[in-house]
Amino acid sequence: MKTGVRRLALATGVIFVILIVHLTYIQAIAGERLYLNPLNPRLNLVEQQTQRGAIYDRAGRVLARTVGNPGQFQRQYPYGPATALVVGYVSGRFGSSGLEASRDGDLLGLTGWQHLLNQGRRLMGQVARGNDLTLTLDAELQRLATSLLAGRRGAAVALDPRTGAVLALASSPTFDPNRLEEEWQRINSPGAGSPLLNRAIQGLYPPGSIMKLVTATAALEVDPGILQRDFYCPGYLEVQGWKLTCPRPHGHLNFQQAMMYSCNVTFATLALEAGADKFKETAALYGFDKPLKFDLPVEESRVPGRLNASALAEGAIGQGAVLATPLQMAMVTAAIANKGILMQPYLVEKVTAAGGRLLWQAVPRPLQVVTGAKVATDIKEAMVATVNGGTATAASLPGIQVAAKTGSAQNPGGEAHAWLVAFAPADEPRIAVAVVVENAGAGGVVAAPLAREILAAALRR
Amino acid sequence: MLRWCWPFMSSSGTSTNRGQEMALLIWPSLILAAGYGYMVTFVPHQPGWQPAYALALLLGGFWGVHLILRVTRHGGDQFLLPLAACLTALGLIFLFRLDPGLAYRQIIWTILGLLVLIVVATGFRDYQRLEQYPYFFLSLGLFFLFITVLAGTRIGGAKSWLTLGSFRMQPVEAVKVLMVMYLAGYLSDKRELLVQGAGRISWGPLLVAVALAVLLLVLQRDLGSALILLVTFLAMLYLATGKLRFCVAGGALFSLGAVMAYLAFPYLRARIAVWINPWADYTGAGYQVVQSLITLGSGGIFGTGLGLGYSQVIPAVATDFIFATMGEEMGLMGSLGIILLYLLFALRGFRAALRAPEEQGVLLAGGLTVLCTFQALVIMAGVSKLLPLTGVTLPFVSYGGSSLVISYLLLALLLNVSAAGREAKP
Ligand SMILES: [Zn+2]
Repeated sequence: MKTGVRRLALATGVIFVILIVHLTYIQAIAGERLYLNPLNPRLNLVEQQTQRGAIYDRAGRVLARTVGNPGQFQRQYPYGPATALVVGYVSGRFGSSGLEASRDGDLLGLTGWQHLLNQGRRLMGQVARGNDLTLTLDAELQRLATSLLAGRRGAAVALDPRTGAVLALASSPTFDPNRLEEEWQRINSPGAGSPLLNRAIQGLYPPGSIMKLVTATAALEVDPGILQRDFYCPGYLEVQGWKLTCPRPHGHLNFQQAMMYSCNVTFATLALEAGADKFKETAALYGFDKPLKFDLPVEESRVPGRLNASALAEGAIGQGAVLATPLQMAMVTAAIANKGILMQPYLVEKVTAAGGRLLWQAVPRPLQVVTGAKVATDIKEAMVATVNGGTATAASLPGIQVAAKTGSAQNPGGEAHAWLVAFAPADEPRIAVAVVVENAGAGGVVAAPLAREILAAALRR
Repeated sequence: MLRWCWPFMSSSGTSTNRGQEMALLIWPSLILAAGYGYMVTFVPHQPGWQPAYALALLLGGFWGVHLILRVTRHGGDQFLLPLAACLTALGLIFLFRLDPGLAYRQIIWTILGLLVLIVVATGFRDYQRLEQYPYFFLSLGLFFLFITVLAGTRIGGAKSWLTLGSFRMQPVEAVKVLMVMYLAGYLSDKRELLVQGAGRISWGPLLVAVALAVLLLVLQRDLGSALILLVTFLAMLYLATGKLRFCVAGGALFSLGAVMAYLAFPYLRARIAVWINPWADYTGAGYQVVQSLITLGSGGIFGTGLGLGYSQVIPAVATDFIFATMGEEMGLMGSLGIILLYLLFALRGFRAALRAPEEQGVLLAGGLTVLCTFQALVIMAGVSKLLPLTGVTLPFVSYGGSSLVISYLLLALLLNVSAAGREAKP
């Protein structure tokens, strides 16, 4: 009986130790994350006693600032709708979104030591001051991209392929965060086209022929000899009773021509030769099927788990169940531009304290080595040929060699989504873009001129 | 440091002048004094009550109990009362910070609890006399449960309240202690028969009684109490028989019952879903748990300081969720402190069981210790999402007269068992 008591005491001790470990995790390790959760009503109180930090673009242009006195703080967004889906909004009534939500802790000065410092200030009745964010975004490029998309639904992403810095992240339709109270009803009406959705990172689209860049990578890795091969396109390909077609029979063509004219038959054949595993693996290296660490919540791009032959042929040309965000396709393009090395995309360049003291700075870092420089260069040359004489001639710029790939993604919603991805200058790429316009038809006709404008503006800087 | 720790592990002194108890009672007195300081400094004056009277009443109560135990040469454990007093004092401070009105009522309940403690500790010192009528306790317990099921009022999910005019009580708190008393009497009487497996005659009444009590609790939707009662029963069964396989069998039966209840009761399924992911419905069913987690997290390591937290957004914060308030305002340091107080309470309770002169004492002290500490564990783990949340009170701390008075009754019984252990020693 006495041993029973001892064992019960021991068991009680063990259970208490588990509780102690768990509480230590909740309060000490997960504490800051829980505290900064948007559902925390304490943040509203802090908000009223804190001058929220400002948000600047890469050139120091103001994207968001707080004016007024404690109790009557007002948040202003000088770039209005253009940056609304990146910067977001913060409102006592409607909550918060964008960087205003995801970087709440920095903007209110609630992270690390700043938290204690600002808590002290608040206790003494002083106004606490949050930290400022400087973004990689180019506000003027962002404004241009937004105005190019105006009146349509779609998105445009521009990255610096060498660093992963996000230069533009535009989505349309958008809203004016300065007039949230007045616009709220319209924003949420069914006909408004979900202006609160950042299509560039949360819109999942079939990538259409843009996916051929991934297919080409897989195929070239398996057999570099395909560059010299002669393909024949009769206009259709039958896989397991399912018929895949080209807009017209392309006849005899080589790898580069298949890219130039976006031949479905050739790329489906290449994917079938490379195999489903290789295709999926390559897509995963580009960032498909895994969460992306980013300053804003990004939807996961996906390739279906088990691909039979017909699904693989479909996936190889970006149809079927393959879905991608515009950011994902910009990453694919940037990786090819950067000789096969995919850089981690990032949006926040640095965090500075109110006095200008640097608290944190982003360091560009490779996310993944997707493929070798040789394969990347081969694909780049095919993309250059596509601009010079293929489907993407509308993306060409005078005096600067552009590399691009078009896409027209079939979808149940009506006309095809128009896609274009491009980078320039082809020899030493400084910018990679991805543009998608919903239900607008052929990528080479609708999306290419938009991408061209963005490239031109970015390279003029 | 060590000087304050070692008495918890080793045996206490031999005299009955209760010197250690006196020394240790300084801690709850300091806590109360700090609470008084907080009251007069930060909280606007409440008409009708004087903070000074409240302080005097509480200090008088705890020290008065100590003096009476000393005068009556009570040989009971000297650590239990200071531990309980620490918990109650802390509870009162946080209740005061949440709602001064509740705190003043809780002070009255504390005094009532201390009176019960004195009556039981002095008048029923020979606890074995109490244990001669196990069926009386069982009948009383089941009677309480029946009338609660029939005439109970549902408050916050569980239908566990009895309302008499403006007076409300939760009989379940008493039922749990009555069941332990029944089990202690019955198991010590029948343990030989139970071990030999000599039949249905011994197991029958036991299993029927426990199953009936648990069923009635489940019908009231008081799942926390049902779980606590079951665990206490299994622990006592293990103590009585020394056979782990009975507990394993009991545990298996319990799991089966839990699965069946899971399939039968939609509210149980909802409760489990909230436990697995409270964030899925953070404005509805998951609200309490989400806000409780955020509250605990907001406290961090050192806490916000008394009165500077924001836990009042959690419904039932003064009863089931008071631990979250403590965790926010005292931080991880404070919540670990509370856990350690319960752990020490458990160690002293088990020590009383270990030293009890005969089986009834072992079973009674062991059962009561498991009852009290497991209840504390269930609610502390519930508000931190380690276990599914079930609405039970934090013994000695949460607001609630029934819970507090019964906690002090339990303390008195533990004191009596430990005293018997001492007196039996040569
Ligand atoms: Zn073709």
